[in-house]
Amino acid sequence: MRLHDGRLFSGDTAAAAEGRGARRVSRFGFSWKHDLRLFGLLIRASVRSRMQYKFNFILASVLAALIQIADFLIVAIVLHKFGAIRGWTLHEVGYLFAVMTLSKTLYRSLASDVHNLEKYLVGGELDQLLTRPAPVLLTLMSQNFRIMTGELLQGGFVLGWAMTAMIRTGQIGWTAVPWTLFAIGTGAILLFSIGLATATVGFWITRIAELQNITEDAARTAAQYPLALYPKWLQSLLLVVVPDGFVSTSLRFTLCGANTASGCLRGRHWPLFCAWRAAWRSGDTD
Amino acid sequence: MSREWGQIAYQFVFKSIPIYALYYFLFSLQLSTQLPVVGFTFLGLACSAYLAICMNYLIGAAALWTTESHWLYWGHHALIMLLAGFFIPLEWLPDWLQTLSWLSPYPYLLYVPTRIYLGFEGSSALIGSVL
Repeated sequence: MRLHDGRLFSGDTAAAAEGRGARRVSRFGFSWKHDLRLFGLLIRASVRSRMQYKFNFILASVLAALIQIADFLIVAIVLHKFGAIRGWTLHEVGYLFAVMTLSKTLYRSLASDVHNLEKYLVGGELDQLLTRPAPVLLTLMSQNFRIMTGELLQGGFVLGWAMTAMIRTGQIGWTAVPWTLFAIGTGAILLFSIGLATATVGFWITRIAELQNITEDAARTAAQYPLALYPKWLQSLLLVVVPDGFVSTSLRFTLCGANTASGCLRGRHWPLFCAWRAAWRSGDTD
Repeated sequence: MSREWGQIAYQFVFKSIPIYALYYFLFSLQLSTQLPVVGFTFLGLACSAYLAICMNYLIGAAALWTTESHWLYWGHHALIMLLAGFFIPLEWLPDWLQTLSWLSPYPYLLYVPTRIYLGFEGSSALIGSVL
C-alpha cells in the first residue's frame, strides 16, 4: 500500500496512480517514459495471471503453431505443384509469409485486446478501464498479454529457412537481415494502425467483429501472399482501402535490394498510425 | 443439439443457397440433373452436418480441461482448410498427409459430398460418413 495524492493505493494501482501523476508532468517531456513503465508493469501483471493456467498456455502455443504450419503447408503444396507463381519462388513466398506472421505476432502480443474491443463495449467492461488512472489505450493494450510462442517459433523457423536459402543463392545479402527486422517492426505498426482504426469505429457502431473479419483477418491473410497473384482491383483495395498490401510491397523492394525505397514506403505507416490514434482519442472522449 | 441444427439450417437457407444462386447466374455453375446424385449429396451433407456438430461438441467439452476452447476451434478450422479439401484437392497432398487425412473424419465433412455431387464417387463413398 502506498500513499499517492493523499489517497491510499495498493500494488499495481499505486504504480498506475503514479503513472497518472507522471502524465501531469508529461508537458515537461516525461510522458513516454512513464507510460512505457506503466505498460511494462501492467503486462507483467497480465502475464502472471495468464500463467496461472499452465496447460492452457502450452496447448494454445502448440495449436497456434499447428494453425500456422497448416496455413503455410497449403501454399507450399500449391507452389510445389505449379513451381514459381507469377515470378515468386517458394522461398520468397515463405519469406513474405513469415514476415507477415511475425508482424502480426508482435502486434497481437503487445496489443492483444485492441482486437477484442467489442467484448469490452458490449459487456460494459470498458467502463472499468475508463475509471482506471491510466490512458485507456495503454490499459487495453496490456490486457490479456500473451507471448505467442507458437507463432514466434513457426514464423522464425520459416523466415530462417527462406532467408538461408535466398542468401545461399545470392539473391539477398546479409544486409537484408536488419532490413527484415525493420520490416517486421513497421509491419506490426501498420497492422496495429488498421486494428486501431477498426476498433475506433466500434465506439460508434459497437459490433465490429464482422468488420474486423474484413479489415484485419481477411485482408492480412490476402496480403501474406504476393499481391501479384490477385486481380488489379483487389491489389488496389489492399494498397488503398485496407493497406496491408504495403507490407508485401515493401518486401519486394527489400528483396530487390532497393532498401531506400523500402524505407520511404514504410514511412507511410506512421502518419496512418497517428491519424487513427487521434480518431481513437476522439471516440474515447465522446 | 437443436440449436446447432437450427444454425446449420439458417446458414444453408440464407448463405449457401444465395451464394450458389449467385454463382449459378454469374459463373454459369452447372447443376446436377441426376436425382440420385442430388439425393446422395444431400445425405452426405446431412452426415457432414452431424459430424461437424459432434466435433464442435468435443471441442466445447475439451474446455472443461483446457479453460479456453477457441484455440481448438481455430486449429479445427485450419485442419478443415488443409485436410477436408477446402482449398486444394486431397490428391495434391503428399502421401503421408493423404493417409493422415483419410484416417481423420475431415474428408467426410466436405470432400466426399463434393465428389459425389460432381459424379466422381458413388454412394459407397458415404459408408465412411455413416461410420
